[in-house]
Amino acid sequence: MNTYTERELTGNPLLYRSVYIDTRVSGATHWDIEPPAAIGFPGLHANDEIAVQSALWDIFDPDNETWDSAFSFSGGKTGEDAVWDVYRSLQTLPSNNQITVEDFWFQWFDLGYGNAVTMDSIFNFHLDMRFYEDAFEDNDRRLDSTPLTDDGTTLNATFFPEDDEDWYSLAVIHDMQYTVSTSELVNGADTVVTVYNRTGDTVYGTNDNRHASTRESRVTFTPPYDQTVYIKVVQTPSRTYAELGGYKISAVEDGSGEPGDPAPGDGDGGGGGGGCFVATAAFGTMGAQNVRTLCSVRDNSLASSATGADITAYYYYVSPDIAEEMTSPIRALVRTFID
Amino acid sequence: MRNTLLTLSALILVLVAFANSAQAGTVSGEVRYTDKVPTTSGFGDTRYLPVPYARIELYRKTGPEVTDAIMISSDNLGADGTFSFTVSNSLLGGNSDFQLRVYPDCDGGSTQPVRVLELDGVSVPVIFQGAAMVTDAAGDWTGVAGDIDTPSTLTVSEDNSGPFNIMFCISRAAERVALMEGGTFPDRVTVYWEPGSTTGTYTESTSQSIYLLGNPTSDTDEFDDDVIVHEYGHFISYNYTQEDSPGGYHYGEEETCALRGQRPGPATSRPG
Repeated sequence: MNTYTERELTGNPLLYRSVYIDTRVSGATHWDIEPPAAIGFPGLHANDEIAVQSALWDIFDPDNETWDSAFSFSGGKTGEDAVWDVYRSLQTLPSNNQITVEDFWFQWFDLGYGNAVTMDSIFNFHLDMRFYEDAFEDNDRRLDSTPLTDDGTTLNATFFPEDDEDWYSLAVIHDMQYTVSTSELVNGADTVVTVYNRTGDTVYGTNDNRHASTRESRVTFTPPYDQTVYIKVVQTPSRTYAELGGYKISAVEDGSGEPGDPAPGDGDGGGGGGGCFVATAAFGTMGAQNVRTLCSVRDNSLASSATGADITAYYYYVSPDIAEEMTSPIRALVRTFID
Repeated sequence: MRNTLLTLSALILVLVAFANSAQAGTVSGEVRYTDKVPTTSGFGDTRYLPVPYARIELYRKTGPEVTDAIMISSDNLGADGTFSFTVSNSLLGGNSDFQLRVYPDCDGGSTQPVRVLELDGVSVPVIFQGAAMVTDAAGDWTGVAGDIDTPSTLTVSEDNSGPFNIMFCISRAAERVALMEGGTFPDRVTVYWEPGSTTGTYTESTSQSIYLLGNPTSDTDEFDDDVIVHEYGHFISYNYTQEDSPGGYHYGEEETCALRGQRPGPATSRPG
């Protein structure tokens, strides 16, 4: 906003209309605020001074581009008056102690300046703002999840309204590795992705930022049994740039994974043991001789027949819950039984 | 006794005014500075712009050194850089020269929104005297009876114009604020800049002061109109709406503040 303020305060459109210049000994750096091509980092437009300036400037600049048309105000006001009025009226800090371009947007309409179609066009064009519900709402609960596919198909989603939670589901096969990612965050969105097991009480992985320089999230996990996992996407509570925002989400199957591996990255990887949940839970590690023996039986004997495969599938269906509920005395009893 | 002294003083003043009334003159003109016009590849042409609102002082010379002078009168330039002093010949000291000192500073009156100080808080004037004053003069600058002809224009050299460009940019920005605010100008802001300053370019929230780079080997901002007004925008934001920057380094299109408020916040300065 401050770059807008600067632009407004320079006050001489003939001299200062479109280019921001900072001279250096070696020359000058400059940005043209009209064409958006050179503006900002993808996904951070709400946090980009030049982009915000460009949007606000288009409200009252004398030119009308393809994304911009004339505004109509009552009472003899101009776009410049309107922008200043909204700017001046932002005196009450929201609960997060931040005023963002979103606040400008809502204040604009609260004050009755309207021109919604043109405003939407400008703010979409310059800031990629998506102040609307995505096509998959209402998916605010696990039971209302939107299906994802594991072929990398992306879905465009938004955090709207404020504090929106988006849930997705993904059918997975045991021992295969999957990666769920968010990308192309817009309007300052900052995702946190969490993958839950089929009952929603075990976390297979969670991630805020897949690396330090991005707000995109990525969770890689290897489900221990065939199931439908659930993926929750929310804005990180510590976000500073926007209450709302947009993102893309996709899931891919990465191939055979190492059973039982915790989710890589900073995920709080959960989940049961590898192929033999109950045994692994009882012995504490897949490396135990007894566990390896049971896995060998599964792979060499049961898997060779249809009946055996069905038994294995059923085992995978029920055993994770059993493993997750096993207390120490029960684990000791099971160890005795397997021994 | 007190009343007697006051009366006597008033009588003396009246006599002085009467004695010199026929020899009063006007020292008037315009002060302009040399602006360097920024272009997208560096600086382009120079141009001359008025020095708005700056304090101007009229001195009578008392010796050969520049500092050998006694102040006779002071005023502020107008928005268009013009000034006018009406003085008596006796105050100019008969055959003495006089000088004009122009400060990148104003007294903070209702339409005087900025002063530029060096980092130690001193306002350094540009001084016109002797030949410098008679560039466009039509008459004699040494003390003479009767009217005093003055030059129409005093031009600050490019080397000394940095502080005055800062004044110009902020004064024009303040006029824009006043236009939007029903004629009320912002309070005066203090800008710290001096040649060679490497303290950075930022606005400090605690003192609501602006610091500008003056580093001649890497980046110096006294002629960077956008940078100057950008920082002034922070000042305006502090005073007219919720502050819009979280602080920290921001630079053009890089990830930075947009329309943000953070008050109170841990950051006290916002580099530009």
